[in-house]
Amino acid sequence: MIKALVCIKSIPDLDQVVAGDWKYGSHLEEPDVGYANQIINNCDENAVEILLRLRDDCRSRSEEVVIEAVTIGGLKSAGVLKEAYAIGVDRCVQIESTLDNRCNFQAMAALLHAYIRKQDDYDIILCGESAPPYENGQTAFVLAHLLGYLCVSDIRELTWAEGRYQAVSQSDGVRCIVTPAGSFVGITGNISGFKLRLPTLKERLQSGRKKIIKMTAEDLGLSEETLRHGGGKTLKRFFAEEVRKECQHLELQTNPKDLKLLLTLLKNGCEKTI
Amino acid sequence: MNILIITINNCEGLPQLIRMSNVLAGESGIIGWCALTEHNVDVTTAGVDQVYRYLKKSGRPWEAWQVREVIREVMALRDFSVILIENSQTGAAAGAGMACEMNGEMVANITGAHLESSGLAVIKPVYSSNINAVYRITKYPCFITIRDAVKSDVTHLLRKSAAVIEKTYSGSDSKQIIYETDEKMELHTLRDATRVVVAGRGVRNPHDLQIIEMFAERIDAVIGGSRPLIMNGLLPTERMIGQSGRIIAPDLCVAVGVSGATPLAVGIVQAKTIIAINQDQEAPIFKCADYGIAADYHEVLTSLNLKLIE
Repeated sequence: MIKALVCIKSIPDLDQVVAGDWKYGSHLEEPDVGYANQIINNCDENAVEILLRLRDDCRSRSEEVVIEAVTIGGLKSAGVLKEAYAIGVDRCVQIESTLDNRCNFQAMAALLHAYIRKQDDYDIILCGESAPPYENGQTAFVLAHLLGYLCVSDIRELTWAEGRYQAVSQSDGVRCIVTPAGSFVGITGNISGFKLRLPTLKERLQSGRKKIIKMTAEDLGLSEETLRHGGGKTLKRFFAEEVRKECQHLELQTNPKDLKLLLTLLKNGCEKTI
Repeated sequence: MNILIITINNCEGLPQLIRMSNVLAGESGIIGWCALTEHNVDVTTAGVDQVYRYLKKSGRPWEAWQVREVIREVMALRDFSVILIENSQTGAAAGAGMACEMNGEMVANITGAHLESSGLAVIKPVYSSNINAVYRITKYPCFITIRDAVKSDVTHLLRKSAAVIEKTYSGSDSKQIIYETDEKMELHTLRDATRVVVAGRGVRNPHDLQIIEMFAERIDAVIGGSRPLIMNGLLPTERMIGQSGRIIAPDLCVAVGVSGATPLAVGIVQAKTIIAINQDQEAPIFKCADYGIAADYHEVLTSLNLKLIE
């Protein structure tokens, strides 16, 4: 049996944020995006899909794959685990935490590390590359370091055959095939044309009845108070600058001069001094 | 403050790293450059005091754990407070691991850094680049990657001779990784292009894309796209532009069917000249474009495709 763990993060759907809510200025409040729905981070969704495909493939050869999802956070995080159940994950765990994840990815990695060590070892651990809104993009790397596991970036595909995993990775533009010798941490990013499965209404309703296993930092032998001081940076302020140019509107249908100017630009590629 | 620059395999983003290292080192700090590359190293590169050049016997790409071994070796020779690492997966993995090992900090994808009385402050876009956060670093050494690429000019910086330590890396390569094909060229195509056509959400199917491909060919441009286009499989992941993809700075950028939402716009605003085509004349893209055409791009490009071969 293959045991796989996928680390998922609940994030606000920033596509739902009203454009006018993004302000400009040198000292801004942190944007209030509390009204946006919580969704599974897209890179994490890709990780779940990669594992589901691995499970489908293995099942066709009568091999068992158990997929577990874990998330860290408060009440809002539970929703993404229900979604994970609906998509087809076998077991969901929530590590309840009030830690501020804006600056402290070290604490997140420490919690995941403690959880993984507390369980039987997993064969595969997949994490998304990074997650809005803070895009730290470090948790998976640090987790791999703490576990002492090989870390495979930008996984596009994962297969299991003849007792070996094979991960297709495209990292920094170089495509490579990785056959990890043992357990490993894989990182998934954006994948072109990657079709994600959507749960049916029935699956969603059924997922509501499935149990989410909850635990705390203390259950994992850690202290939230200690973890709180783990980060090496503090947030000072927010600012945003508006980029605004004087746009010259071209009327191609009615103004031959505009068309001539555009063709010159396209042929010669000059700056606005033409 | 002593700064160490680390470039891996291809010296990506070196001018940016050098420029930032000069800002942070000030007059008294030492700048070291750890070059893990087969390429020739210009030892007069602006402001660098010490070059640590490592050659790899096998010729295979550097792996993160190997980069960490080298960092350990270099850090044993001199104290560096800030380590600016090439913005690649290998660089990020090596930096995160080392920060953890040395009880320091790692910040990825920053767009700026400066020294304050309280220490180092770094600027990092957050909330899909709609806003920037300023962080104060409280633990050192601090490992940093800089977000893709404005074309930095370093010619005005002081050029001086650097001492060079050259070593051959003797560690073995991982047998777990087989490099199948090298698609670096594909990656560089977009980054180095002087003319780029960017397709946005308005481009919905392969037929739409065909018109754009023909147009790009006519003006000798490379095609990039927004995230939805990539996720729909119309373009490969390496062609993604914006917050989640490449930040580009070509001479000419033609934005087709791009609304101008920040996550994509952030990827193109550094282009010298932006021409935007969008049928919604209120689209935010016109706020950051030099020239705007408020019309259906199918009609505009079909017409231009004919005129460009005349």
